[in-house]
Amino acid sequence: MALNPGDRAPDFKLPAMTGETQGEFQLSSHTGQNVVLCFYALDFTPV
Amino acid sequence: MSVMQANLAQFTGLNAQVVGINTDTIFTHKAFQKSLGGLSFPLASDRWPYAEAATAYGIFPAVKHQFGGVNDRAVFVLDKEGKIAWSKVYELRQLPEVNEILTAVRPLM
Repeated sequence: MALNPGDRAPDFKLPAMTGETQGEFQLSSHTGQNVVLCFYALDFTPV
Repeated sequence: MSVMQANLAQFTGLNAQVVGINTDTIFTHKAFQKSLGGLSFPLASDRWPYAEAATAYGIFPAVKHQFGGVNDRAVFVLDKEGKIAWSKVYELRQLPEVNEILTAVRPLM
């Protein structure tokens, strides 16, 4: 069951690529900013 | 993801950080963003522990499709305190409508 509005967003820290730059994305380091989390299925596909 | 890139300035203007996320590797992400002409927001790799973030958000394993091993397509808009303000789970091939996401972000600014 997907989380819903009003729920606290679980924190995570994951490897991330921004353009050609390798780094990490930690959700909690963006407190004070709105965040749009876009989950999608697979790179290089219409899904 | 290219739709988000095309509208990134609007999200930035609303103090919103966009991040794409799935279980592909960062090396796949690197090639993918290049194929789209370059993305200037991060693509995170929810690879190990496998789909841990997607599981925490309740979208793994996928329920909207039978394609094994991947998360559902979903957008979560989080406010500045880290609370979910808006969310939507999409059909696998349904692209998110950027205007409804912007509408969700705008009041949070």
